Amino acid sequence: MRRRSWYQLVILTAFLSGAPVAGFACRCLEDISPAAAYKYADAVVQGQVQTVRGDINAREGSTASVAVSKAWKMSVSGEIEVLTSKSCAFAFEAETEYLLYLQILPNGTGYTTRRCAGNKPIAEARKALDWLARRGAPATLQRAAP
Amino acid sequence: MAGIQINIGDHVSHQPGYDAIPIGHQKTMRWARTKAKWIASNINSANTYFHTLPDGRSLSDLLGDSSIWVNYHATMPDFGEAEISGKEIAISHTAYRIGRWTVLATLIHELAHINGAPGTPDKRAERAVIECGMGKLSELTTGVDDPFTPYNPNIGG
Repeated sequence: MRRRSWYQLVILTAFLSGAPVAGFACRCLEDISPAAAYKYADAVVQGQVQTVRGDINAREGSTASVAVSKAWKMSVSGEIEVLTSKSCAFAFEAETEYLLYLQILPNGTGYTTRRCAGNKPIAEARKALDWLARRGAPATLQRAAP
Repeated sequence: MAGIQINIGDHVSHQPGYDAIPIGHQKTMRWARTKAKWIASNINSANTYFHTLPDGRSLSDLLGDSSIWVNYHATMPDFGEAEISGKEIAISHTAYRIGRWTVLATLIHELAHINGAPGTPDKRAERAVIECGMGKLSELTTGVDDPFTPYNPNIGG
């Protein structure tokens, strides 16, 4: 009986020490200027979200597949995957067209974005698109490998 | 005196990117912690408001909790981050670059998350900045930022 109690204590301690927290939250400025958003991004794209996998509230976050129609600042593929996770994750909606400000993942294998990066549904992005037309550096779209 | 702890290299956070506060920023963080304690003691609405958050703790109680750690984040473009109902806070280089009042407002905001305030679209964490006397009610009602206060209605989290 005593051995069983000790075992239960070990399990409880292990559970509590590794207990997941409810999630993360950040403090960020949600309405940044197009110039600031452009400055902090590695690439800017206009594109349609095809699918969204995962959960932004989970540690691994979610990944959106995006069909890119225009790009600025850096050449990107016509189809890209964008990860958003943990703090300040951006809530992608499938079948919605966005203007997205992207950063290259540290391992160089894809892109990431955040809620406060300046992203907007294309219907609300007129000001940013005007800014990009005047000040952005257009970039080419790479064709996907056959 | 027991209380929330500043990571000066004596703590290893389980959160990636949560590091010790560089020596050059430690004075600012100590000022923010001292000021937060002053607010908890002198501005009645601070403790009252924190009691209404999901975990129900007062600001004084949180500031007296030595299991809560304040870390530094060197690359995060946002002002800060915290585990909701957790123990770990990170305040970023971005907040330090703006100044000590932004560091203080971020500390208060993140303590609200430690006390269970959810993230966006919920606005309760940033509301704590107003309740601690660092913003104007007019900013809350109009949504227009007064750049002379640390509260900003355009801040989420």
